[in-house]
Amino acid sequence: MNPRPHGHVRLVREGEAPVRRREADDFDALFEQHWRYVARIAHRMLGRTDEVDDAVQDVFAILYRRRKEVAELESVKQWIGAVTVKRCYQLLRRRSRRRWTSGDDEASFLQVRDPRVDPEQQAMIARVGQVLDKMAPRQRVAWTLRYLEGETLEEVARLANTSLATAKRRIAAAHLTIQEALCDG
Amino acid sequence: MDDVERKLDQLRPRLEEEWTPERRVSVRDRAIRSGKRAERLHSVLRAGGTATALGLVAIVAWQWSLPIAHKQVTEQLRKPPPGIPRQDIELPDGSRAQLLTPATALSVLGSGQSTKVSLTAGAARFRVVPVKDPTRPFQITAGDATIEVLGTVFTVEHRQAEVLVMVEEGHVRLRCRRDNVTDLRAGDTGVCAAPLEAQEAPHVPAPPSRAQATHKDWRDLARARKYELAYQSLRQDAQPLPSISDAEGLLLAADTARLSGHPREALSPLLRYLNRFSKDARAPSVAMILGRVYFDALNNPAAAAKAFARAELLDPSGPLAEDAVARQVESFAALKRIDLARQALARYEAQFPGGRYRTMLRALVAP
Repeated sequence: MNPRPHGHVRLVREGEAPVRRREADDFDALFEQHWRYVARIAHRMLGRTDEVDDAVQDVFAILYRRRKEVAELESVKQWIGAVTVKRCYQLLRRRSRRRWTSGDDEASFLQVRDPRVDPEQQAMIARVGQVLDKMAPRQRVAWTLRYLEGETLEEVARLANTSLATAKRRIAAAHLTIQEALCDG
Repeated sequence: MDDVERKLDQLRPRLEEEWTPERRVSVRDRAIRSGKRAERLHSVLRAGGTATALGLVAIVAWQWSLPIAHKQVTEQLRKPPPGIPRQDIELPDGSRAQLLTPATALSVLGSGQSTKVSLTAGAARFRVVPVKDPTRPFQITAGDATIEVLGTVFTVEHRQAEVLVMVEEGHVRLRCRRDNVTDLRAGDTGVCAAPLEAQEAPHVPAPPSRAQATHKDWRDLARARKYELAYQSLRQDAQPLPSISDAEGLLLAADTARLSGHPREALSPLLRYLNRFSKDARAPSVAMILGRVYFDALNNPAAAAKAFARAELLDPSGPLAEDAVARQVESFAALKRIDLARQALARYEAQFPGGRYRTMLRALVAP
């Protein structure tokens, strides 16, 4: 029997990367293209830096596993947005459950370090954060997408996986709460 | 647009976090690791799911490949639990099979139109209901033998080297290796022995003197009334019963089986003796023994009544005639056939006016 030769040479056509390498390249490209979008949504919805990292990691882990299917989608960004919103919603639910069971009342909203933000705006952001922290996760997600992310109502409904009427109702209820809180403040 | 909305619009571009390159790379690497882990888990689950699904498909396919696909029912009858000597089974056409030995293995393929039974080991007694369509008879296969029945009672015993068929009522057709066909009627015993080469193949050839010695041994033991030892010797000899053809050998074999606690195995030599040596002086007593085996040991009063009737017929004025008629009365009473029992009693009283069993028999048929 001939001994198996040491080392292994694989011929690759010119201009063609090996399959495994190409898949990794695809994922890297998708990550580079969308990580800011995912991080921004997660930051505006969750506020906490540690949870933002977890959310981004989870979204891209799903993307890694389903990269072949995702690569064939018409709009990768829409799919990623929907996955991010769903993951943030799950984390908010978990947070509210934890608050209920262990009394964790850590403030979580929006640490803004931008020097252009004046003290009045800082106070407003802090107040909005306090109100959002006490809001039901469904309303919080819908309101954040509409007013902090600036999405259209249709896009909010699609990302939150609800009907347009439900999305409108949740946004209106959340906005009324925010307005009342800001007027009182 | 309200005031709050306007203020939020102005703030929106500033509501972003600064990410350092290290943080970005760390999150990306963790995402890849987590994705790979999930991928592996999914492939394991998918493989497990596929294997389970294939297993289920295989089971379903196997079930469908059985005769059930042809609207038939398969019933595998296994060894009965200890302590239960017999098992009665109703077959799809209404016939009944009685498993006579614990090792009896029977499979039944039955549809509404025909019933086929395969007896792979042991012995079974069949009571077959009349067949509606004669072109589709009740059929039993046991080794090389095929038995076709149109409605009757009979016993089939599948031994290692032969298949015995003992007919109690009616008429069966025994087909041995397809070409050898024998019609058996009530009281007949048919034997389908394996070809000589097949019988001899599993055995190590022994010197003739040794075989003769063994053959002689069991007879000597039986003559010395050491029936247990004789039975063991006979079984070790594994000699097929058809090879015992002399009257004395058949009677010794019957005694050996009967008196060593194997009454069913006594039926074959007794029936063969009666068929071959019915004119022998011992025939009436052999018929009586057969009746007693059926009645006392095998709890089969119908067959016993026939055997006692045969004993009476063989010697109507002989010393056993009174016993033969009396035992017929007893058999019919056990069968709850009081009308037949009374007829037999009337015959008894006419033939034996001062008969010694008169009082006992009257008590048996009293209302």
